Amino acid sequence: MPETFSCNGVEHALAAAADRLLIDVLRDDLHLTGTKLGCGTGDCGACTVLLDGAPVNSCLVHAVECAGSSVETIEAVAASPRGRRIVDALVAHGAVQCGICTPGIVVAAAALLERTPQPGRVEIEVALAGNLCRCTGYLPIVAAVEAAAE
Amino acid sequence: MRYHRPETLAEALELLGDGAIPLAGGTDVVPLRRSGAIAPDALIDIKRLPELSGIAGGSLGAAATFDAIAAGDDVPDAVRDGARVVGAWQTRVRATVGGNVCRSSPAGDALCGLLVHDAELELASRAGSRRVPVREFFTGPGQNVRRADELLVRVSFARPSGGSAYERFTYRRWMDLAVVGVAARVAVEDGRCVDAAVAIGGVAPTPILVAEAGAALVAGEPEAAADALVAAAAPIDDVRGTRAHRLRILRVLAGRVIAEAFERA
Repeated sequence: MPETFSCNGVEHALAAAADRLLIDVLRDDLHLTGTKLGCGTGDCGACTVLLDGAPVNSCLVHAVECAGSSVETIEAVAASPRGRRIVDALVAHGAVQCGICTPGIVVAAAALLERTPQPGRVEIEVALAGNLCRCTGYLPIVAAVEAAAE
Repeated sequence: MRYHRPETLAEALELLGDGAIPLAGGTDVVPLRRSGAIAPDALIDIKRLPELSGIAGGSLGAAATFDAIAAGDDVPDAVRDGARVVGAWQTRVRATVGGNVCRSSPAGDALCGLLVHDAELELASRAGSRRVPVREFFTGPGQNVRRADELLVRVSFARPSGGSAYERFTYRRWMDLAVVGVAARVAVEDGRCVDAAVAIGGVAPTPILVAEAGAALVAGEPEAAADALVAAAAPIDDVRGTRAHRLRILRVLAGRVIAEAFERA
């Protein structure tokens, strides 16, 4: 029986070589290019996806480790009601400039609001500490997530 | 490169050896491999082995993630404090206490907490298993007594009593490595400190349990405890700070952590 993993609700066969990273399978094989490669070392969070509901850096996960697991990328998260609220709030608060960090931020923020529906400012900062942004200075991002939570 | 996901501990131990290394959260292994610092022939995924799982009654499975440890009941405070500050949320969902121990960085955030709680490490191999006190495990930066054919299975605590705390000094609030770290545990009876342990990280080739500091706290001499910590530290000048800076930080940080441990006792 070939191993599979679920991505955005769809089962896929895991035929990847042992050392292929999840981010590369998502972007190159499944053509889900919303997830971005930033640093490749797990420091910037641009590649954040949900693995069994929890945010992980997909540049640090081998695809084969995901057998039997469920992955959700920005494509699915942004299409959900909560994700749409977060995206709209980010745009309304001027929290999207170049946009490269935004998919990772939306995924992490969605995971936060799932766990903590009404997070305070500090909780938001802690939850998003793994998502670096070079453009906005973070303040509009935190304000947007706070607004999206209400 | 090959990837294996053994379903039993025995299977995993058959596979381990030179060139075939354990893969837990991958937060160290993947970047190390990417930079060429390590070049394993095979990754043995040990995350789902039942013997390495779970957090219960003074024992952590080696594959317990920092996210789970930070949220878990029955985890000593100094260890929980360390679990909370590793990397960021994405790191903590994957990174494990076993990985932190076996990576053996002198700045590892779980390690000082394990030292002050006198943790014991269960190492299994095809030849059987042995228990190594964590204070005997680290031999140098990134070095320890684990053989290539051994797997860290569980971390257990001999002395869960008392109040404890861990704090570190970093330049960034999050997503940084400790420049200096201190953990302290104190047990108090009738207002007197009857047992204490202090460990320091980031200021020597390994994290160190400083026996003289614990003894000084029991003797009611907190200044002598701080002096003992500074005397035991052997920091170097490196990209994260000078020797002098680390020693200054160490004294201040130790005072704060010891006070916090007493508060929690």
